[in-house]
Amino acid sequence: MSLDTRTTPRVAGSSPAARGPRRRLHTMNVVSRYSFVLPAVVFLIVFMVYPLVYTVNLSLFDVNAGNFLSGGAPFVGLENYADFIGSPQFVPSLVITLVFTVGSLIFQHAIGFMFALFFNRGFPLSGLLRALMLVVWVMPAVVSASLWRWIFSGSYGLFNAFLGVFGISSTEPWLVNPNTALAAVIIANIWLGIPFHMMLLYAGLQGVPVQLYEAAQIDGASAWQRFWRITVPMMRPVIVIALLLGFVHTFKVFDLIYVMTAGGPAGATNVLSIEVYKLSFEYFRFGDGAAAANILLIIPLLLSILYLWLRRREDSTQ
Amino acid sequence: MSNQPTRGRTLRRLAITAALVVAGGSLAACTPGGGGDESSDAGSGPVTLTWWDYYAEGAASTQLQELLDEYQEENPDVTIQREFIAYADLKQSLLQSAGAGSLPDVVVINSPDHQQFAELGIAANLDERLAEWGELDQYAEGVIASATYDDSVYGLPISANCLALFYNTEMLDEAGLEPPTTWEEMEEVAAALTTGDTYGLAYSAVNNQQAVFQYLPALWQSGGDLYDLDSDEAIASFDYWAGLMDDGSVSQEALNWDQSMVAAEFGQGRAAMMINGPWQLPFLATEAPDLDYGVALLPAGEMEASVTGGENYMIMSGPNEDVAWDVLQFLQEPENVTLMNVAGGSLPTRNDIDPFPDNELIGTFTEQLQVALPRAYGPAYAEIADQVVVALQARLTGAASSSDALSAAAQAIDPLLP
Repeated sequence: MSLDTRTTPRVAGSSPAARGPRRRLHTMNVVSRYSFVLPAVVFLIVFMVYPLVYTVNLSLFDVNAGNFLSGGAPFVGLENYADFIGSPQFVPSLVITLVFTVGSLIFQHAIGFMFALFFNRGFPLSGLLRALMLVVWVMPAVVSASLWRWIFSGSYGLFNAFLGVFGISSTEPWLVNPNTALAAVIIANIWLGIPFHMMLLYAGLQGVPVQLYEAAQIDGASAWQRFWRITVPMMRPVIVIALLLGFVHTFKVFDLIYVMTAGGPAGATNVLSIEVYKLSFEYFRFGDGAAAANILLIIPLLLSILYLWLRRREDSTQ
Repeated sequence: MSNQPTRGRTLRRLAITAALVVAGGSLAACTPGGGGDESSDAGSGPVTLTWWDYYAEGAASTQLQELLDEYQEENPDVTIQREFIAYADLKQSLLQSAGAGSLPDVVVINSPDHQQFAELGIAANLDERLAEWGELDQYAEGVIASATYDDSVYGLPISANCLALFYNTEMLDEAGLEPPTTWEEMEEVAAALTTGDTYGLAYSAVNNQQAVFQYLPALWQSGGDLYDLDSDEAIASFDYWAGLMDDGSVSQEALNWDQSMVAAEFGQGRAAMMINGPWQLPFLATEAPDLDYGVALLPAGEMEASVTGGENYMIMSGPNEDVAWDVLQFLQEPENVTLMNVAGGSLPTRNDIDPFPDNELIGTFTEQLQVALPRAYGPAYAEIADQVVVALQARLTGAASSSDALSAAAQAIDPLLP
């Protein structure tokens, strides 16, 4: 039932006489092929590999204000890592980061999925509305963060005014209360992340063949069944990619939280990225900061590797 | 089934696009900042000085620009390129430019941060030039101390201040009250003045160094110090400071207010008293010209105390040090210092000038200065202050008791203190 109609390449049966010029052609091909890749490779080396190597190197030395510029920082091996993991801030920070990431991701994804399904129905002006939703995502995080800071402020906050509509009189400063600050920051981040998930899922939905739904409908499947039995299985790769990318860039969110609470009140929103920033740029403990940055990097990296590994195993069993 | 390959390809393309978008986003976040600096010629040729400060538009910024313009007119060879660097970005920008080898020539810096940069080795040592200049004895010891590291001086003051108590005269008169002079009176007066939309007192407990600046006088008034943060005195100071919020005399929003927002609350009549510094006087004069207010000494606990702060000019090491020093000398001429002090609402930074003759408010601040202490806790002060903020906010929000919060902080700052 193969639809493959490609013919067997003729090169395979070429005569020895034609080999000379062809080889030259082949070399040129190789050169031109690599030259296409070159800009990307240079870019990666300059902007990704070099900073990474530099940070790893930095994390192995006790670099601080006294020797950052003059040099001569002593080599301390993995001590910076041990210090950071052993510091009283580490475990609470890690927990807060995970709560923030998972909390954001679940809602971003679920709500993004709903929007994607909604827009996939196609209605007048849906294209325009979809584009408008992207504005949220395009807006600089600092701007959104300032906006949300105002929304959640006590006496003149929009959220309290909104509660007032339902007869709930509140002057609760949401970002000041350690019990609500994290939730408030998560809500802001959910709002920020919905368009990203919506965009990916919407594009994925376009690829699900309509015939499947038609066939299911004829067989009497309900909308709920169609969603769980057709949409979700067909969309699985997109869902996984959206969740993975979402995890990676939520895990290292800095600007939003820094502007909204700067890690406060009393450390209630002190995610790892804020800790890294403080170590390097406020305390000038560059070695410790680099080690902390690498730990911040390793966690999403491990997750990405796990995903790629699962993906490969899945591909090979198919 | 013919759909399968198309779908796979779409997905792959999607994944790549998404990955690129994410990578692009993270890259945009770390675009290097920092201005360039062209001139390397320290001789007689034209020189361009790069100047960084974080002054928002206002009287101080305008006055500074006027003085710099005047200097450039008198010295046509020197061009001063002034750049605004937001206060929150200053440290990071300075580090980046130091790493890139393109430091600015003069930086206006918050005095408690000065030692940190001297330790980093990028500030110019002024000892020899100051000796030749011979005017250092015109400056208060505490002010110069903030620019001193390892017995060498690395800068001169642009402004000096201390905290005192602002009160709304009208509100106090209406309630028939006098400004409080002791902690007990403070608790009573603040509670009595809290009515409806008005809070009795406003202070800053924001999540940065400003909260510590505001709280330190209370710690010293109790007889405590950062060196002994789990003492009974320190606990008493925490209970007093947070107690004002527990009583409802200070708004919970203080945890989100920096000192300028505190001044705005006071200026708009939403707080009957506030703890703040003289640099708010020009702000109140322009933003709340009809406000009838006075300044009193901070209420005393076991003793009287306040905290000094201010900003310094810091010359960065580099080929333009001498030219920068010449500009600095010009700015430190008594009449120019007077102009800057008036514009910035600064207490006199030199002993031989009187920028505010017969000004009662400034007079109170000057009196308060007699019992004001500097934050001389060494180059790790930024980290120490962060630990104190965490303790303070934990107590203010009720997440921890005074003694628990303080003993955690005491343990954390112990290795950081000099």
